[in-house]
Amino acid sequence: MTEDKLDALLRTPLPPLDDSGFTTSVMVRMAPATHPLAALEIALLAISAVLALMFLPVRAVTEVAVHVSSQLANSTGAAMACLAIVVTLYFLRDLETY
Amino acid sequence: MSEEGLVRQAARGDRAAFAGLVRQHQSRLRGFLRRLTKGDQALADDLAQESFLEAWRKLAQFRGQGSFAGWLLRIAWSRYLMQARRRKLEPLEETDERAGPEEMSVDMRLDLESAMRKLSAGERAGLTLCYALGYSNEDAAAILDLPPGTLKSHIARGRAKLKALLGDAA
Repeated sequence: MTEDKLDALLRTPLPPLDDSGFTTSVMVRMAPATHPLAALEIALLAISAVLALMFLPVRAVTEVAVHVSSQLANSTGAAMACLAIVVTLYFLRDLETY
Repeated sequence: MSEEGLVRQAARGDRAAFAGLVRQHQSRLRGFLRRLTKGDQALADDLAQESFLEAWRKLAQFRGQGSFAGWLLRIAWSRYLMQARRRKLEPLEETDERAGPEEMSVDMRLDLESAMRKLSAGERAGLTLCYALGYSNEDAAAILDLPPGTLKSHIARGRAKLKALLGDAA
């Protein structure tokens, strides 16, 4: 085969392919476009979160948390409950090995 | 609408515009992938779909440098390479496959497509881009992400193999 013949053969364009539903199948597999409302909802949520953080009575909430935790720490009942949970979990784990 | 307009619209999330681009480019992309997959139509179409989906996701990154068709072919080539590595379809670089005398006599009736299957992926891709799709060496090298010298070697080796394979059939 001569170089010219090979050139001509190689330059033969690829045969055209009918779409035959190819485009439709690509479109079906495409992720749905982000709805403009979704972006608006996210923005509103972010603004609400910032406002909530700004106006949240942080000091009062902290005081309550400190008070409750110190009471729990001094409570015999709470200590007993914690002990019961630990012992139960320990025995449950032992039981699972049998 | 012009291709440039369709690309701009599609980059803004216009699915109809993107469908127009898929319709325009599907034949060329699927044909290229069929050559690469040695005529495996199902695999080629699957890769073409994945390439278009990747193009849709990355459309905002296409800044109009080079042609849209070239950008798509580049995505398709990288998809093909990933698939070939995963499936271990064939060595991606130069194959040592040469048509021996016996093989040549068997291959005498092979047409171009059959002969192409004897080439390495790089050779098939280079020859298809530069001849059947009419890209310049520089553009084809950019699509395949190869140095121009490597592409030229692929083409020279591919031509030599084809000449040997098709020689007696001519």
